[in-house]
Amino acid sequence: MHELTIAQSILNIINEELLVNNLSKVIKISIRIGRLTAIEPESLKFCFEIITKNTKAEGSVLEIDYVPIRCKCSNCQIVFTVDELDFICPKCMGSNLKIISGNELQVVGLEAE
Amino acid sequence: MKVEIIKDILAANDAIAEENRRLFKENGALVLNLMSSPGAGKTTLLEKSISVLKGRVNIGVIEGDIQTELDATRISKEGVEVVQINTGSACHLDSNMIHQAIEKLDLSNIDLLFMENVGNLVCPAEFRIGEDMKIMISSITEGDDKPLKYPLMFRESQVLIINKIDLLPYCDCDLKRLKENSLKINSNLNIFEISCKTESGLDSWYNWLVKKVEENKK
Repeated sequence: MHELTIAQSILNIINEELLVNNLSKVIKISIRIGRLTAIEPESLKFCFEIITKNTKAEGSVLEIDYVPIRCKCSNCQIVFTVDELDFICPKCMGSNLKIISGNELQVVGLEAE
Repeated sequence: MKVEIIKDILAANDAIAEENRRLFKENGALVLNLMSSPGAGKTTLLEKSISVLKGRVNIGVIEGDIQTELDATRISKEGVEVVQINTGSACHLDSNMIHQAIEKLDLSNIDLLFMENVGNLVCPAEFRIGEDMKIMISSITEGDDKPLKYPLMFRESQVLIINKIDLLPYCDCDLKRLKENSLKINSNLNIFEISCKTESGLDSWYNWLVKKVEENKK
């Protein structure tokens, strides 16, 4: 449901960049979304399409890189991917973990003319 | 032309959240962001907590709902400062809504500020609003699988309040499994088992609140 807010925030960032770089039409925008965020990619694409109507980003491609959840165990220092939301170290079964990736919600690239 | 950028999508929200946080700290207010599904018992827990603690702690409340002032009316009967935010269509509170609401509160006179978020198990967890802690309520009638289905909120919260434990005999919810599932997502969760109806478990919640307010004053 909050994908519309996220889409609006992306558009705001794009507009700032267009202004700074003196560009007028967006071709592609790349974003990174961690799996730990509560963002549904298809819903975000849909909201982005709606919100960019009649803007410089209308018809542009929203490219989403979905980032897996990676943790580092504070006990045995190994790094592993969390697949089933099991926040437990597969080696020592410890639960004192540091999240290395999976929280991302970033704009990482813009292609425009 | 390709533009190389790395910008947090929620940076604008987070910047205002930091400003809110600064104001709260300046005034020595402990701020708790209360989140849950609709009907889990946020407002009832607030009413109970305020009626017991208002003589000891100066409390303020920001109420977030899509529509109506029903909750603010309920809370104002307890005689504390309350501001209602109607989000219109938005499914969550954001930092700017809170920033505007703060202007209507006398923060210097508040030690404990509750921000009751919009009833929703997904979106509120994504938006920082300047809180010290996120507190979530999960009620027995919602079942024991919610931590697995809605992990972000369980992951982001520091405290989990399990409400309506008086209904355990009538529901298929397994309390042990609910706690196991929650700790699997977030092993640092501080869990309270309560019933607002029978008032079971509420004393330890009140004591925890008072302790946190005192710690925050130091």
